[in-house]
Formats: sequence, structure tokens, C-alpha cells
Amino acid sequence: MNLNRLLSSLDIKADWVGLRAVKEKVTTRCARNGLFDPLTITYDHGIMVEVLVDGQFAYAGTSDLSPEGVKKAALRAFAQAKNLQKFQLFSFDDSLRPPSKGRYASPARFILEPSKAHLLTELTVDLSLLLKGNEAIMNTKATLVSIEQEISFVSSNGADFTQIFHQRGVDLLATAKVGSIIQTRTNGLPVGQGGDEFFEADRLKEQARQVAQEAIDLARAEECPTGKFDLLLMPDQLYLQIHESIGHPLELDRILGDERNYAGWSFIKPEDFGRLQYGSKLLNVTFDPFASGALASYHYDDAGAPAKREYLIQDGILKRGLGGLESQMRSKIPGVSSMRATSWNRAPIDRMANVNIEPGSASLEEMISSTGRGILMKTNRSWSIDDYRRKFQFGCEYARLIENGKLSKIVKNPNYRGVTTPFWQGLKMVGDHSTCENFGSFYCGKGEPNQAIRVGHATPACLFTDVEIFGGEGA
Amino acid sequence: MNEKNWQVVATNLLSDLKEGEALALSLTAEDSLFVRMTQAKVRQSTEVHQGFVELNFFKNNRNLKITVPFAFQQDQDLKVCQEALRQCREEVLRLPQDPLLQWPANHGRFHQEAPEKVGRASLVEGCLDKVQSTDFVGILSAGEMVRANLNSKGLSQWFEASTFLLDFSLYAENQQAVKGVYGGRHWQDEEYENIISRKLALLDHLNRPLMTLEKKKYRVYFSPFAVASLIAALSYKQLVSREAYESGDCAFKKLADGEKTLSPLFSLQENFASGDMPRFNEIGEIAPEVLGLVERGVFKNFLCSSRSAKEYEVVSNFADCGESLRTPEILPGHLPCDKEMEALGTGIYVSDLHYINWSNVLEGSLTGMTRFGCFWVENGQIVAPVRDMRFDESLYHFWGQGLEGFTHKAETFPKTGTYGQRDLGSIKTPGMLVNDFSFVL
Repeated sequence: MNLNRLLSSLDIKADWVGLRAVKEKVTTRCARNGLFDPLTITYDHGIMVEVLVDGQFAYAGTSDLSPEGVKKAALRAFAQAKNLQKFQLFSFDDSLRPPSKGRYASPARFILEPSKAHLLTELTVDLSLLLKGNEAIMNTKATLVSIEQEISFVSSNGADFTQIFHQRGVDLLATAKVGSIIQTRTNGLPVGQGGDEFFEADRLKEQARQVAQEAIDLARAEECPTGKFDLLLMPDQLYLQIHESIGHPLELDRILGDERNYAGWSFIKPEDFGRLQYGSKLLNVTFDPFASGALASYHYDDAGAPAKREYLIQDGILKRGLGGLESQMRSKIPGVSSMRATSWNRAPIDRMANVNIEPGSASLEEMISSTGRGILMKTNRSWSIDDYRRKFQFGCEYARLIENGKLSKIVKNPNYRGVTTPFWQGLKMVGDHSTCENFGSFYCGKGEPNQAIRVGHATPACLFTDVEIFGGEGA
Repeated sequence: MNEKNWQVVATNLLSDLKEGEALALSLTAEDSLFVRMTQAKVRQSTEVHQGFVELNFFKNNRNLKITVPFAFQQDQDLKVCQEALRQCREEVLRLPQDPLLQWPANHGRFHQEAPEKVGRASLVEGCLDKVQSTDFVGILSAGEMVRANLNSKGLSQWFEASTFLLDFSLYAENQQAVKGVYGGRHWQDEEYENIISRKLALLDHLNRPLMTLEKKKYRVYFSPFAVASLIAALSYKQLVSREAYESGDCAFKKLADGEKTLSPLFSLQENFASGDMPRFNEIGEIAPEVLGLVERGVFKNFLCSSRSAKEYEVVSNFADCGESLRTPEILPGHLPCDKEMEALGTGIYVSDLHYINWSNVLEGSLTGMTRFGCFWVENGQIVAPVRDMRFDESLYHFWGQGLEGFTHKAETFPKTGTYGQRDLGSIKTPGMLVNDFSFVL
């Protein structure tokens, strides 16, 4: 399919036309308790036609890839743009669709050819059996996800770029029962861009053994205590704290009020940029589209804006929003290249991509030894935040007390809650590179109509002061 | 989206099968208009024509599923599906045998067509013309949706709906808001205007200084919409799924095991009587029209797919593969409607809940936030709107000892989700009065 030829064949009197073709293959391998679930492969392929008419963008997506199908979509988009002029929110122009040219491909060391892909099926079953290595384990699940996606974009003002993504994720789960106590432990679902080197068998098998053992340890552990403690968050929980209480509130379309009916608003006001003390001086947060191996690295967003690494928060001060060219024009707030769509069947909106905390200078040992009374928490289990992105509550799978500068007993059902800016202002130590890990999510949900996008968060471990902690008995 | 196109492609594929092979085809398709609105203006409009067919292929006790796009263009669709069938044949040889296989079977014919297509031409005008002086935000969805099954055992099912759905909020100057939903097959200007008028009247109450309440337990009335939000959030596996129960990750586990109880005022069921959701699942099994899950506080049934039934040696009730609630209903009670403030007396009126998640699944503990129009009420009178608050409470309390009752009339709310495709179905819930409900932040 030649996208440029398709574009040239369209005969509509729009001020600008763009075609975004998305092709994707998602393979999910899942085994529970040694039994392999049916192999699931999902293919998707479609084209979104965007038109600009008298300042109004409109979209029509189709899975009919014939010239007639695309033309029909273009006519539908054109009719919408004309019909809705009366209710135009803002008059846009084609400067918001830069004529970018180029190509990006995820770095991938190797991708197994189809005749060898059964090795991944065998690995999935092996992992689920390894997770079940002890009679105290009542349930196990191993899931390997492989995604290959190609996005091509051409436009009437000369954009022509293609991006190829290879993305992977592994989920290992074990549920232990000791007496009447049931506890579940996972590996935190690490995700990233790359090839099948992501599924390195020895490393995953070691993880599986650890997950199973820690599930049993948790089933034997005491409840997490209640009270105010210093809180040391490991990357596999902190990534979601970043996501919910930094990423989302900084989205420019939320600040503009576009998401108020569903995902919500933001406590951030336009005048906060350049001024608001979001966190302590140790807090440095970047939008980094070039982070190696991160899930949401790319060169262009879905409007064609070239991606660039930028500070969102620097020395604790809020600098820049997460919003593409349309929201930047409407709000006059600086943003980043982050107008993204889940696939061809949704219009792009302001999304996160890779939003990272920059490493500091403290080793893990230093953060622990400096803590008199604290808790170390690992691996997210539950999350909730209000629609202005202030009052949050998180639950984790696993925690250890820190007493007089040393790690002590394991505790189960650890939870914490707080309010966004006081929490980040309580950041008192930031881990160095040795504590950094890459996490992210395949399923960040937002938008009307709804869409799930893939996001990446690289972060060191971080220590926070005086956080409200509680266990499974509630608080 | 022509049923004949679907039949031709599917029949062609099925006739290609070789000995020992079986195939089930499941279609999900829609042709939709989405208009995203803010400040009573159009932010984005999108039309989508999409379809996906899952080929569920069986051979030698092995099974895999390949999903491909379906465009209702015969030549394109046939080519794509034939390539998928070829891939099925190649891949299946490399898979282990599956002792839990659900071979295709003919579970019964089903055919429901949309009587007419919903008129889209004037929907946006009909919606926005009436709210131009307000801060109106929302999403309008409209169009046709299809679910269909065909398989090598002669199964033939087709469900088609054509509806519109407006999911909106109206905002006051102090950033407080009320929520509304309007959906159906025929847009009625008068019906819509009545809804808007009622919501604007409620918004007036919100446009006052906010009260901040301290964190503690309160007497709370949850509107039918708030209860529906609760059920919507709990609809996925961990509430009432057989697999979740067996895996040790189910909120109703302690109820089913007799370790905990619920109030005799609480009954939850799946009810397909509205006809806005097909009774067949992805493999064509037809669920009972009504299935009791909890009856007067007593546990009755988990949602159990046929795969789980085979795995755990229990009886299937033909749940979908995710064992999620498809068309849940909480049965009404005895509290008089339109007297909920009086019944509440002194406490909090909650219109809606936001971002609900489990804080401890096995204890049935949930956390979330109040949202959209919550009030402090004294002696049955609204005193002031309240700042949003976080709750953390167990369903064994609010559907247990803490439950004072449900209103005697339940309301039906269409499902508003559009992840991947427009959701079908609805949630039917009454209002709910609870004592000692915990707010923690």
C-alpha cells in the first residue's frame, strides 16, 4: 500500500490532509499452573484520515484500505469539519502538523523467526511451573507479550515518516497460601522496547524463583503497621506514583479542561508554570523520548512534531507541560511532542510518553542507613487518585521495615496515601544510577472516546519523609 | 455493515476446513461517530468504521486464536481471513495440547437486527444548541454496533444495535459539576431539555462555597448513578469470577466460603432482559436471562465460563471468557424514591464516585473518591457542596451491616466505555443508604 499515492488520489477541498496508517501484531502467551492458555495473536491494520477545513480538524478512520474506502473516510471527515464549524472551539492551522520526514525503529538485538517462536511458548509453560515450585503456592501465571507496530504518516504539506516499534512485557505471578492467609507476588510487569532478548530465559527463571519465595514470605509476614513513616519507594512502585501524580496532572489538555467529563481536570493552573514548587529541590523530571529501552521512545508524535528531551520539573520547579502543538497553541504553555493515539481508530490527544525522574547521588545503602524509622515498598498492587490529581492512595505487594538504618522484617499489605505536592516536597533523597530501573505500562487509559496508550517511566529509588502508611487492617 | 458480507466470508472459510479441523468465528464491528466537546464547543470529531474477527482454530486437541481486521469488503476480508487460517494451521502444530479445550458447538441461533439506523445528522446541533450558555463537557457517540458468531458446527448468531449516547457534565464557576447521561435510539429534544434543566437546577446548589469535612465515618446516601459507578468498577474479574475464586484473588471468596456475610437487603444478578446486550458470549453460548449471584445476602453463583467449569469441575453458566459482569443489576429495596434527602437526614449525599480500586481484594476493601455533586445534608436539607473526599471501605460493610437500604426504584444506565470499541449493555441500580461509611482523606 503506497500511502503517498493514496493521499494524491484524494480529491477533497481541505486546507490540509493527513493519512496515518497503523499496522500492529500483538502476541500473548499465557500459562497458568503449567497449562498453556490458547495462543492469542491479534492483527490490526487501518488508516486514519485527518483533514483541516477553515481551522477545524476532523477525523475518519477505516479498516477498509482500498482507495475507495480511504476516499469515503476522507469525505466523511471533510463533511464533519464543515458541519461542525458552527461549534468550533479554536481555529487551528497546518503549522500544527509539521512536515517531518524520517524513520525510527526500536533497537532490537534479535526477533525469533516464526519457526522458533515455539521456544517462547515452552518458556512460558516452564516459568509457570517454576513459579509453582512449592506446595504453599496455590496459583501461578506467566504471561509473555510481544508487540510489533508500524506507524506511517504522510500529509499534503509534505510529512512522510515511518516508525517501527518492537515492544515486550513479562508478567510473573505466584499466589501463596499459608494457613488461611493468601498473598500474591509478581515481578511488577517490566515492559520496554526491544526484541526477544527481553525474554532471556535464565534471568526470567531466577525472577520466577524469587517471586514464588516472596509470595510465601508475605503469607507468613505480619501486617504493615499504621502511622507516619519515612517511605523508600523502589522503581516498580515509584513509576506509577510518577505516572499518576506528575504525568497526568501535567497534561495540557487536562489543564485546559478538555478531560473534565472523564479522566478529570488538574490542580495545575497555567500561571503555575515557571513558579510552582512541585517538589523538593531534588526533584528533576524529564520527558525523554530517546531513553534507551523505554517503552514509549519515538522520534515523532502522531501530529508529526519532532520529539525532544525536555525538563518538565527542574530543581523542584514546574517548567513545562505534557501537551502537543494544538494544546500549546491554545494554552500558550510550553509543551513537548506528545500528541498520540492508541491506534488508527482514535484521534491523537495529549499523552505521556517516557516521563522519568533523573537519578540523584544516593546509593540504596545510604538511603536505608539514613532512615531511623521507615518502610521500603516494592511493586504496585493498587492505585487511586482524585480527578484533580491531588489525593492519592497506593497499595504495594511487598514491604520491609527500616529500623535504625537497617532493613528488618517483611510486612504484608503495605499501603500509603497522600496529597501530590506535599508528597513530592517531602522528597529527601534520590537514588543514583545503580538504583535506576525502567518500568511503564501498556494500558494508560484516558480520552473520550477512550484510548489506552503505552508509557515508559525510568526512575531511581527515592526516599520520602513522613508519609501516612497503613496495612491490610485499614486506617 | 452487511450481514450478508459476513456470511459470505465466514461460509467460505468454513468450507475450506480439512478433516480434524474446527473453526469458530467471532465478529465485533461498529460504524461510529464520536464528538468530544468542551465549553459547549466541539474539540474533536472522529468517525470510525472498524471490524475485527477472531478465528478460534482447533486441531489435534490444540487451539489458538488469531484476530484480524474485518472491513465488510468481501475481497479484502476473504484474503485477510484466508491468510489467518493458513497461519493457524502452521502455528497450531507447535502448541502443546490443551486439556481444557472448548470445541465449537451449536449453542443455538440468535438473530436481532437494529430496526433502523440512529439519525446522526443533527445530533450535535440538538445537543449543543441547548447548552450554549453553559460550561458543557462531554462525549457524544452514535452509530451501529455488531456482535456475531459462526462456527463449523452450524452456529449462527447476529446481534445489531444502533444507538446514540451522550455522556456529559455541566460545570459551575467554582469548578463543581453535575453529571448526566442521555442515550437511546431516537433523540428527543424535549426529553434532552428536561434532563438539562434538572441538572442545571442541581448545579445551582453546587455553586456555593465548599465545605471541608473531617475524615471519619459518615451516614451516606449514594445516588443510583454512584452505585452504578461502583458496580462498573467492580465488574471485572476480581468480584465474582470462578477463576479468581480458585486463584485466591476474589472479593466474594469469604462470602462464598461462609467466613463473612452480607445484608439480606442486598441482591446482585446478571439480567439480560433489557435486550441491549446479546445473551451469547464469544463462543456462542447463551447465558440464562437472569442469573442470581447474591440473593438476599446469600452467595449463589460465581460467573463461570465453560473453560473454568472444565478446569475446576463445576457447572458453567456461560459467562464470557473474562468472567466479567455484562449486564449487572442490584435489586431495589424499600426506601421511597424522591425522599432520599429525608431518609438520609444528616449526612453526605454522593452523586458519583471516581477511580475506584481494590485496596485489599480478599477483605473486599475498596478505595476511591467522591466526584460530581456531593453535598452535606442536615435534617434532609442540602446545606453546602463538599470538597472531594477519599473513602476506603469494605463491601462487607456497605453491603453488610452498614447497609440501611436501597430505594424502591432502580435506574438503568447505559455503559459508556469506548476502549477499543463502544461497550454494549447497561447497569441497573437503585440508590443506597449506608451508615458509618469511612472517609480517610
